[in-house]
Amino acid sequence: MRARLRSIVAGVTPQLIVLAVFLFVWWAAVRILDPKPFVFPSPGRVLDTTVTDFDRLWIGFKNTLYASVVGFLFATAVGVGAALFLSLSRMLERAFFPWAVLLQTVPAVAVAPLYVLWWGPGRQSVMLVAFTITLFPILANSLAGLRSADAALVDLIRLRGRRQNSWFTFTKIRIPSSLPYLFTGLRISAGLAVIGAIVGEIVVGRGGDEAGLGYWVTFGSTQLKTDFVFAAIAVSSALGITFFLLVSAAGNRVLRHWHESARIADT
Amino acid sequence: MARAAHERSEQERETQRCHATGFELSALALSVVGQANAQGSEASGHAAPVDAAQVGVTVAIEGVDRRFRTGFLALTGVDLTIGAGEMVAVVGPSGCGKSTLLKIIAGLLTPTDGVVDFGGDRPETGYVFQDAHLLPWRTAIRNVELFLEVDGVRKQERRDRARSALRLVGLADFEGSYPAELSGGMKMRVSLARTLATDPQLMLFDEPFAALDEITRNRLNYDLIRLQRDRGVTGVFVTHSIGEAAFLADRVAVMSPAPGRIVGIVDVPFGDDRRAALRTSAEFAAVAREVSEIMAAHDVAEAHDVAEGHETVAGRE
Repeated sequence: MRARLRSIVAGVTPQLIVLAVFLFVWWAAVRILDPKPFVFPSPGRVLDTTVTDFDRLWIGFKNTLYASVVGFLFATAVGVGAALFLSLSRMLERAFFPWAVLLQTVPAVAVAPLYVLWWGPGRQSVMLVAFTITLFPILANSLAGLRSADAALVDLIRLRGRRQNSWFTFTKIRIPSSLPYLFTGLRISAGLAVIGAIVGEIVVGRGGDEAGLGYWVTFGSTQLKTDFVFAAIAVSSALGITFFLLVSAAGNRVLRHWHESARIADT
Repeated sequence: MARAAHERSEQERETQRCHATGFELSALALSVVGQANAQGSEASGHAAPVDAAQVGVTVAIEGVDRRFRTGFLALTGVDLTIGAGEMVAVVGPSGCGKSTLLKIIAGLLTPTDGVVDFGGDRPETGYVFQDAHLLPWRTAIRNVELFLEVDGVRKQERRDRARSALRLVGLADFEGSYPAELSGGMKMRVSLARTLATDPQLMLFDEPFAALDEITRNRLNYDLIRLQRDRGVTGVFVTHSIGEAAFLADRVAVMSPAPGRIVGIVDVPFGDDRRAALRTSAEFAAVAREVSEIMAAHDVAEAHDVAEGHETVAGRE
């Protein structure tokens, strides 16, 4: 336990040193160059604002968290469901998958105004932007995963009289085989979900109770409260990192028996 | 650090295994196999083979051709009859259609022309590939149970049969280990146990030990031949290695480069006597040379360096 703690401390120390140096350079640069606070605030000012405007940031944090999690879960359900459907036959995949790729190239920011037109500004449009941006990585990775099942093993099962796409092969071989790929998709999408929610809030978000971090970024910049913008951005990225780490941890837990080489992409 | 320690303990485990069933203690290994057999059949309530030699099945391959959709002719006019309980090794250069022949015997591919006749229904067939093809999320014993699960065998019987199969391959103590925790040789043993658990009448081996180091490979060959002979299973063993073929088989069939056909069959006169010392005997070298000469006569690419002598043959395994 102690050895483990020591290795964690040893692991994060270099990163903390970089953070300290970064904050110092920031602080020193503001001190020497002395820009107007609304152009470039000092770290101290940002910290002050974080404390004094904590209530607003907290509301923003909760709303952005909610929108990104709902968008993410919705995208997971739709993405995995669509992948399961497309994996049923090569024909289905050939027919639909290229269109999914094409949809992926449509920028989520560009469709956001359409969501406002159809559903009005506010929460559900924000969630839809988060959903739109997270859907594709989950769909593409789950599909690749379902296709990754050990073909030789599927052959051996076929020798025992089961069809290649039998329920047995599907539930006992294909779906478990897809998990490392699925978690790669989920990890990518976890980070994207927060970005999607914030983009959504900037474009289609509403203030008041519904104000998310993206809304506060817009609000702060129109009021020239640059320190507040900085604080909102910092909270946003903290949220994104936390979400990413949680999904990673869940993945590592599920995949703990897979050999490292069998896991797709780490970090 | 932790990783290095992990790998070290893996090696130690393999070493322990070596002592348990290695060449020096072959008598002990034999009794373990016998015991496991008896326990296995008791536990599973499975009909124990009264006469081991009757488990195997005769395989008659008659005039088999196989042309792929691309037009490539992989096999042409393959005739080979394998007796019940016999082990036939098929050697030949890469791409000569050895694996295609195995797949046709297994029923995974259909011949373009010709037939494979088992003198009755398709027998229970085991197929062992070069890689273990285990499921990483399942423990060793759950991997061994897989095919029984496909067949709808009840849970308790499944467990018992898997357990005795693991005992047969010397992995009784590792039933709870995941593939990632096992060495390459141990994974192949699990793969072998998975096939043995189905009580095959015919076993097909597609270069099963080619990816392993020589020491592990010799040991597995040795264990394999014991298992095959004890049970009287019919076997077809595809390999690149002449030494492996001569050590394992009753007959060695030599295939020509594509389109593959059988250009010669060499009898291996060692019967059930397959001790490690066999590999260095003059008779063994004579068999290996005979196989090499057939290969050389048919312009098989690898033949030249193999034919240079018995030293090289042993070294190639």
